[in-house]
Amino acid sequence: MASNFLTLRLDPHPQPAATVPTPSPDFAAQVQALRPQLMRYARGQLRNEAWAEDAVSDTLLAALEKPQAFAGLSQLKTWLVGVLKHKLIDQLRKQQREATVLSQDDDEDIDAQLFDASGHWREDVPDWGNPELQLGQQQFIAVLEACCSQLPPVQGRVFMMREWLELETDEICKTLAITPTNLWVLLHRARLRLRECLQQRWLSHAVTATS
Amino acid sequence: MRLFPTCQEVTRRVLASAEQAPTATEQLRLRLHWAVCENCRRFRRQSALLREAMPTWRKGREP
Repeated sequence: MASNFLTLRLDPHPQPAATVPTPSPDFAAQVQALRPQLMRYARGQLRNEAWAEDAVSDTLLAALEKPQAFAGLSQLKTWLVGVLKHKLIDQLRKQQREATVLSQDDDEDIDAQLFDASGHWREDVPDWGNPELQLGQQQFIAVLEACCSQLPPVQGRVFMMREWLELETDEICKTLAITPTNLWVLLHRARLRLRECLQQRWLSHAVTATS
Repeated sequence: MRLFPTCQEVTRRVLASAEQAPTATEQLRLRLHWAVCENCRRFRRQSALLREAMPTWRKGREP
């Protein structure tokens, strides 16, 4: 429904409602052009196409309702991301029941893969050296981003809430209706997985490149 | 945390320090462990590297 509304607003000959300011076609196009980027973030956070659609549509609509408020494109982008973050949190709150159900199908034990029964590393931890220096910071960040998007759904969602939305732990627990213990386990696993992924995707390259 | 924590416990504590800084006693136990464990020293460096990269990653995710 929200996207229908958006399509209406993008009509080249809009029929303005009496009270809402009509965005110029230019501005509407500018906002619409940012949609794919915003969808990427929303998908990464929510792991659900329909919820992501809703959050992004709401965000774009909010911008179209106040076209006069932006001095330039970069200000518009910053504003949109700010609004999107709030919409994502709203969406997560609304969907908290589903989130809790999901957390149950996500219990593969990465700890057991890394540590033996006596709590020792099964394999030696390799020396990473300095990947940012060897690889360039941009590429390192790109690998990090790719690894984040490969986290299991609930771990990924929780990790993004903590590290991207920068929510406090009690806020995350409230939003997803999970216990602090549950959250700590999810964050712990997400970080271990992230490290594993970085090691596989990047270190294997670095080692073959230098040897 | 035990007086001589295992690698698994040390790892858990290192990752959780983003949410809760280790107490002085925990710090001491971690240091004792790191003094004798090369693997956990490497893991600590990797975690620090990741933590330092997060602000840049966050900034890079803004369109």
